[in-house]
Amino acid sequence: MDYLVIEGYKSAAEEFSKEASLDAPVDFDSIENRMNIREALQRGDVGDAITRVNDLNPDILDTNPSLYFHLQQQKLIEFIRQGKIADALQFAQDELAPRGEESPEFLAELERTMALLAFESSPMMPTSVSELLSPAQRLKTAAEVNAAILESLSQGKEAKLVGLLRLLCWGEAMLEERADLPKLDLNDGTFGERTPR
Amino acid sequence: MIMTVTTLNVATLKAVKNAVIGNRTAKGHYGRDEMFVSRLVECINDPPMSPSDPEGTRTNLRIEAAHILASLSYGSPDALRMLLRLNASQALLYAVSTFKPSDSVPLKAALTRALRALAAAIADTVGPSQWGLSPTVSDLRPEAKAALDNLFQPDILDVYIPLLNDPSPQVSTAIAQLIASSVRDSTHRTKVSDWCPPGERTVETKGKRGWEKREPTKSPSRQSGWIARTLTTLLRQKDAKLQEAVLSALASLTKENEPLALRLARAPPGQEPVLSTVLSLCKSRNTDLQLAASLCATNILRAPPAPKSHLSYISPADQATAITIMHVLNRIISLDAASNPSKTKACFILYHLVTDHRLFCQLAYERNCLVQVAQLVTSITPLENTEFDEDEPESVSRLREAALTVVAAIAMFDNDIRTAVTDEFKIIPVVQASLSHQYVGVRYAACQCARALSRAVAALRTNIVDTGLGMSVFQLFMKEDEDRQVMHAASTVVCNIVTDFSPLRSTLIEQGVIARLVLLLNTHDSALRLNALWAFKNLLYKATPELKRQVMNSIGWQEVRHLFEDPDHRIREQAFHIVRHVADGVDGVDLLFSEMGGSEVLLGHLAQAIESDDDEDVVLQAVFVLANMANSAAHQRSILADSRILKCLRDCLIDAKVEIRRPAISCVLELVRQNPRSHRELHEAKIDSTLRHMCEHTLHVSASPTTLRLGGGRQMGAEDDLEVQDKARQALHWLEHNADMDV
Repeated sequence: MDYLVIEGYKSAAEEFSKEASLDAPVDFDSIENRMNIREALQRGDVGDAITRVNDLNPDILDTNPSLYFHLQQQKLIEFIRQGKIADALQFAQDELAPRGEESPEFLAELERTMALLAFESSPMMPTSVSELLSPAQRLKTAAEVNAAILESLSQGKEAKLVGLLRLLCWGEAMLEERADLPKLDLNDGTFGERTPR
Repeated sequence: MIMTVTTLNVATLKAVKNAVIGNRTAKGHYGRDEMFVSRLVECINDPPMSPSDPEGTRTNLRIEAAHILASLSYGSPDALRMLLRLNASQALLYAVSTFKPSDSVPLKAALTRALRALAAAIADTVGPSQWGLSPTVSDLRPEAKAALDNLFQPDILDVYIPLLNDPSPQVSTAIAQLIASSVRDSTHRTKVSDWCPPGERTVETKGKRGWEKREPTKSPSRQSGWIARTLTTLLRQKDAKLQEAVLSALASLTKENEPLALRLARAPPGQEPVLSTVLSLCKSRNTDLQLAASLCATNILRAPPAPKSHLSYISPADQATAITIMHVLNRIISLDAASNPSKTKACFILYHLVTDHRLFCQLAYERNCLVQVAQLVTSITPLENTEFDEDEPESVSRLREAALTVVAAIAMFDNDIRTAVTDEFKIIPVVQASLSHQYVGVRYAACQCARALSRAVAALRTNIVDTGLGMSVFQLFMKEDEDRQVMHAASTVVCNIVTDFSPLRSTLIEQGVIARLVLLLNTHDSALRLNALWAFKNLLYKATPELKRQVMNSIGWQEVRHLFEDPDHRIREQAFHIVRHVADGVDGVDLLFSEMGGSEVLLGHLAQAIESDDDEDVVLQAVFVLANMANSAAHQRSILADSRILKCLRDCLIDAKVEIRRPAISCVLELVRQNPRSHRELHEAKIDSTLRHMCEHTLHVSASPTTLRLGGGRQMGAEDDLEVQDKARQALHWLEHNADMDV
């Protein structure tokens, strides 16, 4: 349940709650809000995402300069992805340059993003720059927003299930040095033979 | 994205809101637009409506306006300036005062949130800073101070304090946060702690005699009652954000507030004190909650004055509380996953826990706090190149400031701890590097570390001299446009390194420390002036006659005479102490007499101080001057010829505390011993009979130097201090011997 709530799967959480006769730890509407924001980011509509975050809690972006910067950075990336170079340049000048002035620690990131414009579709573009265009970048930004919202509600940032799995893998790694043991196959959830090192 | 707003409607307001949130530049732009902000402020209570507006527009307009005001409050000095000028806080207070039960929760939440944001911004401008040093003093401070004081007027408190009991947690949280961030000085603290609702007030005012006038907020049986009870009740609710806000509010209210702190630390039998609840919240899983609870517990623990001596007793309960807090903070400091802001707060809370408290410093050291902090600061400080990264995030700079501040506090008293800091944790390179950091808080904290380390006499050579740390601080001290607070910290180090046993003394003199100190002496900053005098005093101790002349000429003899009459007693004390050190040695006394306008003027100043200064420490130093002067045979006659001074001496012998009587009797003894004819003057001054009284009725006393003095004078005129007694006897012997020798 915790996993479904934190990751924002509202209808799944609702069904699960009915089936397992569990009370939801939070109001399902708040899950829906976070889901909408995540979806907006995944389709590249950063402006909508920002509006929704501000409607949900106007404090978040004001008290999280790093998050705000990443959202604006994402917006610039989306302009570039859509080929709207003039818009991108205008936006970078009006919105991102001031961020860099206000907080010099964002300058490096800003430069990396501007490099996208410099390289255009050149095959010489280094991976560190090209990965900004990947869907993974959108997911990264979305995850950051999700975490910030959860923190503002004083809920856990990471699904406990994820934490447990991590602990499990670490524990197995520790034990493996001293004994044979059946390891959990994370792909299909079965316990298999120990793979030789 | 920045546009000119012509009509104020929900859509345009939302657009402005989304433009300004997070965007400092946009805030500045809109904030400087007086017309816009003025309409916005009006919108809080009286939004522009048209007949065609749908249901709920009025509320929505007010909500959006409130959100914008809140956002404009932080991050933009220009916007804040406009908000102050247009009295935005009054508009918000009015809105809050007219809350109706029918008002929607989002509206109430938005308005209280805006009030909280604006109050916090105002409080930050007025200061003092709640976390570390505030980098600049704003020119808005006077207006901000007026607005802040207004927030704590009795009728204004009546508007928002009751909202702590509002059914909506968003509202009560906002008010608790308001208290947490705005209460920073003792007057405001008392007003809030003592507040009680109007209903309870009028009942109390009746009292036994209805015609008795009582102050509206002082209800004796309820002092520090309502707020404490209300916040305690809120603390027990399961809402983490609310709990965090309440803990922070309690922290702000209990700081240096012993009555409230005691109330929270104790409970009637059978009940658990609030402090227990706070301590259990220290151990919650939520870092923010842990920090808020730690700060609250720390302030409760440290509200009573710190014990004076290292032999003082700390109750087991207090010790356990301190240990719990240290454990929680240590964990946060050493946790990789904890954010820089969290670690920064943890360091500052630890600082508040141990500062100026020998025993807690020791405890912190034993509990490995120093290890953790030292590791932290070493890990974030690049030592390969001495240049700090200009783009270093502010959060890292603040963390460095916090960590160095704690190190300085823990190392302030004990040599073993200082040794650990330098030898085991090798902090000196970090401190050295930090002295030239661009962020003022880091330089200040580095100076404090240097100060702590420079207090160790034995280690002075290795830690301060050989490492070059002393000279680095000195360079900082000599900088023309350095921040005043950093100057103050650097000057305390200079005080410690100009002492007679410091290998750096001559270097510092060569490099112009005297001239620099004179500059500081002539500023209007009383803290800097005091430190300058302190440094001069240390410089003059056991100085050569040439050095004495050089220093005193630089200060100016006339100037010193002015200082004797400075309104600040600490300045007067140092001035006399300086002269005392000059007078140490016959050459020095000669110098004094020749340069201070002659014996009449000099003795006149001393007599004035001894007779009529309110402050005992000033009197003490003046008597020491006299005692030193009496060692010079050439000038004893001048002293003996001055009946006013002799009267002063006599009064000291009779009336003053033992620390003053000792130099006084030394002075008399010297005068008598070297001047056979002195018995006449001393007889006229009645000193001889005083001496006889002192020697006659010897009480059996313990050898303790701090014997109890009863009332203003001693019983029967007898002397109870062994050292004084002994000298009195010697003086009497000489006196009578001289009298016998005379015809």
